[in-house]
Amino acid sequence: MTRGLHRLFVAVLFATGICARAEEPTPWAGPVRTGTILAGDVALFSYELRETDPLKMPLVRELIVCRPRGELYRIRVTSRRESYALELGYHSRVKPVEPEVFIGPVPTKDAPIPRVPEDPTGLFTVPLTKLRAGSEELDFFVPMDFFVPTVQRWLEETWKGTSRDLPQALNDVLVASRLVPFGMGEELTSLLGVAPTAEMSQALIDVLARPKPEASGKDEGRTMKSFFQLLPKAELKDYAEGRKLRRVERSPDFCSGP
Amino acid sequence: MRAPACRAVVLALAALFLAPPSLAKEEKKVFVRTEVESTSGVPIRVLQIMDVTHARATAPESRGVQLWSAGPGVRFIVLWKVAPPTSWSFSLIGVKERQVVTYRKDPKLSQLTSEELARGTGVLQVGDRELVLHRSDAQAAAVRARVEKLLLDVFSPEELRAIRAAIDAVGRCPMMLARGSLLPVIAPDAYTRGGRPCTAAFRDVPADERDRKWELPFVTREPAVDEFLKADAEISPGVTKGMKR
Repeated sequence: MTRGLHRLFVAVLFATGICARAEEPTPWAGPVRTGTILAGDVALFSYELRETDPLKMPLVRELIVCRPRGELYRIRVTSRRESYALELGYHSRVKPVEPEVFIGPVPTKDAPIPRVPEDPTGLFTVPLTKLRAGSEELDFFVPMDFFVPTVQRWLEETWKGTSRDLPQALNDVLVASRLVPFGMGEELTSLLGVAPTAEMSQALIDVLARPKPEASGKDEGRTMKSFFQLLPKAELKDYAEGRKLRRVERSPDFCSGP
Repeated sequence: MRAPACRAVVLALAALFLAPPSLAKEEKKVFVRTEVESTSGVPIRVLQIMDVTHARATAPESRGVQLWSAGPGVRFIVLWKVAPPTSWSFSLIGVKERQVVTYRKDPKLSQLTSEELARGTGVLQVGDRELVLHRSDAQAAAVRARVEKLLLDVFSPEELRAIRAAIDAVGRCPMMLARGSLLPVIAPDAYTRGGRPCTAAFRDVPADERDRKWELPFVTREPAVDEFLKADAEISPGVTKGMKR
């Protein structure tokens, strides 16, 4: 009896140790990179970027975004060779805040093609990515499903499960990462439903610079809708009006408060 | 006092005699009955009865029923009512309670925006869950996954597989059966353009070979079906030319 209790005690201690280890802070490596992204003379956001040892998998990259009104957001990307996942939520410098949005796993170009097990014809399955936003969930296929009107509507509905600031913050980071790469978001091109090529990046810049994209041809309008509805109701008009984005060194005291 | 009353009666009688036949007596409904069965593979039998009284080339209004029997224990009903372009409604009803799947478009549906109504988007209802979706998006991975999840709430995986196999076998063959908008949503692979060829063989069931017993369980569940089965319907071939008969 006593021996049994002793074993139980050891097991509980062991489990507690595992839990404690899981909550250990991420071992960051290298310096914290900082900067501010400007649209014309207006600061869109400032950021702090840190990452784990790039030679070890999974690679965790965390971006703390500070918006002009002082709101803080945290975007964390956990990358593996075959996929990556993204967490998004509010951030506080004084207490831990659980992320509200989870997107993953998003397959990378190195991901193997998933086959239907034991199917002689070699049928493959479509790898689905989950978007969890608040209490809402949606499985979808990145990036093809972004171009499907029904899925665009569902994505928008799913994002409604969270506050509007969050998709806007993520959207700004993703768009800025294409126009002024700063070390975070460039690898997440698939989240915008575009292929990560130089031509596509240029096309995106051209498209954003057009004053009224919806007024163009039918097919183009559909593609544009896909961009804008990925992160619903994203207000990209500022970019579209031709204001160039640029990155500057961040002022040390900008958004340093809690 | 008496003169105006007499005049009213005379006018009413005159109007009745001079009015077009459709107003003088009850409009005659036109029903068309089609029944096909497979002659190889899984024994599939489909009975379709359509009310085409108001069907016109310019306004193809119709309503109808299909009774599907696809092997032992696999039966389902497809009911529809179409008044394009304003509204349509398709239902697939299984044998068990709660096995009702409805896909409909109606201007009264608050879930649909005017843009979606114009595009022909509908609301899919499975049990007490609803989804707004467009039929042509049914093959997208996200749509498949979500529809699948809803269907598995009311059908077992085996039931769903059997229903899809039947829709697939019939859908790939050029037959004169209404497919509507719901069946491609439930079985998106069955109606792919340039898809697999028709491999099953079907024949028209002659009038004297009808087995009325298999219709009975449906009638008890769905009163609407009873009206169609009792209708004096004109027989129409369901197997198109070139197919085995």
